[in-house]
Amino acid sequence: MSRRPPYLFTRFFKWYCKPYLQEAILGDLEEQFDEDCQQYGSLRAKRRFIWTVLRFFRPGITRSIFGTQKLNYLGMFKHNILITIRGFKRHKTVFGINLVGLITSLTCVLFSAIWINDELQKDRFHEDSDRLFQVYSRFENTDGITVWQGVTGLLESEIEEQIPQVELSGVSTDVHEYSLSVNNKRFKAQGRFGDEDYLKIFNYPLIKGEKEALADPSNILITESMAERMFGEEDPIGKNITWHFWNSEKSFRVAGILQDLTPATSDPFEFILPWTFYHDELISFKGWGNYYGRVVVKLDDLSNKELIEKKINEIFRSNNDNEQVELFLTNYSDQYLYGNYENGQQAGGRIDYVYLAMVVACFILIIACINFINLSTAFASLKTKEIGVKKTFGASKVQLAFQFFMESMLLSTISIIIAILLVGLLLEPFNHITGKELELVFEWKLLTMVLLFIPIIGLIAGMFPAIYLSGLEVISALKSKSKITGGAWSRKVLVFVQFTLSIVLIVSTLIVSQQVDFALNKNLGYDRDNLLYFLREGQILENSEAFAVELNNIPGVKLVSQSGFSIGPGLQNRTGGISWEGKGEDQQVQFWENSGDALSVEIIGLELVDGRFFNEKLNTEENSIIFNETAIHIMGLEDPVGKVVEHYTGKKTIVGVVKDFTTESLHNPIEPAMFHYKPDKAHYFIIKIAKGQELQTISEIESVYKSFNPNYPFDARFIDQDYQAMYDSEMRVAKLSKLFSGLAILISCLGLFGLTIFQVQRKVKEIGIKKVLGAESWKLAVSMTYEFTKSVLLSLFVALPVSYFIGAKWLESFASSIQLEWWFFCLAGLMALLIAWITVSSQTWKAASANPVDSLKDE
Amino acid sequence: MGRTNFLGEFEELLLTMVLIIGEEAYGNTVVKAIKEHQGRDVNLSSVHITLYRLEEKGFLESYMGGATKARGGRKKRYFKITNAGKVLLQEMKDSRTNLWKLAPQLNFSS
Repeated sequence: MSRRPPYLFTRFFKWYCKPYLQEAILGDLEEQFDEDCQQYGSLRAKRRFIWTVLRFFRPGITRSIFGTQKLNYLGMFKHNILITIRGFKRHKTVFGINLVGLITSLTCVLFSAIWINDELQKDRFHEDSDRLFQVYSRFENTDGITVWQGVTGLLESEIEEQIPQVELSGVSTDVHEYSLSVNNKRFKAQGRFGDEDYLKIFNYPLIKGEKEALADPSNILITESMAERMFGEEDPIGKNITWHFWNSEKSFRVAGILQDLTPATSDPFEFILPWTFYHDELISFKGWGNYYGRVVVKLDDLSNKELIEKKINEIFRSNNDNEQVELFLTNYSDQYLYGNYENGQQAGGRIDYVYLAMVVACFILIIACINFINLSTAFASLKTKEIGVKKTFGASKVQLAFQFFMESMLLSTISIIIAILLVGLLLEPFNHITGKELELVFEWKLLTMVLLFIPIIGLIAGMFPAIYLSGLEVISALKSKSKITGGAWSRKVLVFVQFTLSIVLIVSTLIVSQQVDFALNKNLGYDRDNLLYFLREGQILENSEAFAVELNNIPGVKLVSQSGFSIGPGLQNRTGGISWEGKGEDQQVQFWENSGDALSVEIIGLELVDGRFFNEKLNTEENSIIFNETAIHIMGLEDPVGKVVEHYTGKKTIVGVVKDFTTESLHNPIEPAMFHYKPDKAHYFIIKIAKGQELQTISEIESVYKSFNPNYPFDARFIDQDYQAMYDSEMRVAKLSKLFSGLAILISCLGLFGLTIFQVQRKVKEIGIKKVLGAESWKLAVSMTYEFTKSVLLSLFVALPVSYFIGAKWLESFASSIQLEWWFFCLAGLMALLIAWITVSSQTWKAASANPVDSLKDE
Repeated sequence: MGRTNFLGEFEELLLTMVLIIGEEAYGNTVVKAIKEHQGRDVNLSSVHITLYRLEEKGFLESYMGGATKARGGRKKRYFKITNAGKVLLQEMKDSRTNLWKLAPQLNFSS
């Protein structure tokens, strides 16, 4: 039998035991084994050996799982951090530039992320929002295809009966401002009509009451804050609210309280009235050619969409033989982002702004990362010694790369923390600009994004220095005159990229703000200055003549008219009910329509081309009509004044033709328009006020109004306010893009500034010698500035055509837009160049004008 | 006695054994001495670990030496009691004697 101790267990012991204990213990073990062999035989000796070896396997004897040499990873980590922090301290400018750049860009990125997230979440809070579809109508006209949400209200019940694949269908109207009153106290509120299925489809929860309450035509549901506004502390349930519209009114009983609608809805309202009331009492023409309803359906399965679309069209076709109308379905939640239609085809919408925000955020992030890359490679020439020494001591490439990654990670961590704080601080001004109610919620999405950002930015920014610096040759790194020429070239490329991005942003900003300015100041064909308007309701409706006389007595009032003129989207009247001599069989033309008194054309400053305005003194004006040029052109009438057309209210004689004007916003093309004399149908009072004394005149108008309508709130608005409101999103985009492109060029210049400092530092001796030899300061400065100018000039060549294409594409979405002028590009280019020059020359000039003695004396 | 001066029963036994054995004190001799004087079987591993702990506490010191063929030519780790160890043992003995003086005479008959 073998007298050797079991090999396996010896090996096992050697594997786990601390090396410095091994010899003595193993010796003791073997000695004991020997003695046992002699005393008890090898079997028992082996058993005891194994047992002892197993007993030795305990803390104090076993080696650490991290290895025998106790590799000090933590120590290395600490060392790297220390080196990094010392580096930051030594090169404060570089560190500052990197930090400021990264913080600014990360703040921008976070803001855009919050904003984008909010946009993408709009209307997605409804249950099964992917299965909710809005029914749209597509009209084929002679001048193209138009698309809108209106369908006949009769459609909904037919869908419910005939299409089993539709789980739920609801019908409603658009939101409109109505006035409500409680005990003769008036309130303006946004409201709509809807059926009980409308509330079942959408996720607007009730606090009190039932959704079924909407089946009863005498009920009303109001939101919590509306209830508080109207009833204060009292319990509103069962109370009566009177609803007023135009000259009708009706009393409703509060049957339920809705929770205040979340800001995530794109279609907010404050009260909802029963659809049955609307349908039975307010719609006099319940036909399949009247598009007064908005229908939303919930499909049982997405794959049935085509089938359901087909069935809906079949239903429509069996009731209406108008071949030019086709119905189709669009996802309800998609409408917000994809709301624009061009000639019947979906053509973007707010999603364009989402993409824009993403692109701009990426640009800014890239610019800041480039700063980091450029500065750290440039200043790495100061680190070559350190790298050389570390490499001689055996530091591997990976370890060195790790050190540089550490540096960039540390920087990105610091910046992201500060950026989050900044976002928190600046959220309110940002909300002010964007007109949103964004909040910084620390949910998992934001946290994962932030946690992902740190390594991503760390990697992007640290990659280049890490690869480049860790790959340096030991010998050349240690030699004092190591050349880092490859870096200089790539740095120029990166500066070029930075400035290209910045210039694209600047040009785009210029174009956006020019277009917005243009839209706001464009001659729309009518004079919208100092036009005040308010609803004709209550006493001023019944005693409108007396009211008008009182108004005319106010010195600041120039003209008073009763008219239907308004420019807000959805507030306009259009009709197809006009025929004329020579109208084609299937020619469908929608006319913009205004009913008003004699002054209704004059007061908005339309220019007469032919004929005359209305004249109140003539008693025949009921039968007169005025068209714009486009309408005359479409009807193909020659010498139109005196001709007779068939209006849906009777025969009308054309008395005048006015110049074209924009009826809504510039996104819409000029449309045919008509005015007819019908003062009793006018919705508004429109008042032209003399310039310079607006405030006083308005308060006088208000007091006259109050004497007629003591219980009504005086809610007067200027037409140009309404006009500006239509350009809300463009104005916000213009403001934001100004801000962001300003920041982009700022960050780029910071980087350029840092690079110049580096360049100048390296050339201090050269400059000194040149000066001693008689070179002039300004020539030196110019020659140093020239190096950077080359990159910026090159980026101009690339950026300008690119931004031209982007700008032209954006402007296409406007029916009338600015021309892209050459000076936009010149201005942007010049600005970029000038800013770059100022940045660079501040340093080069300083260096060039320094006394050469200072730079040369230490050698 | 402070915290570090506290010894467990087994630690005290080993310290005493190292004192008794003197020059030749290493793992195996300690095991054998305990068997011889106390008739108690102890495992080599517990002896080693306790010896190292006593060394850490400063009551023992160790040095390497005395390789023999029986151990595959490996050196032994010899242990020697330090002055601190000696003082501690003395103190423990004295305090125990003092305690015994306080105890009433043991009477096993009753």
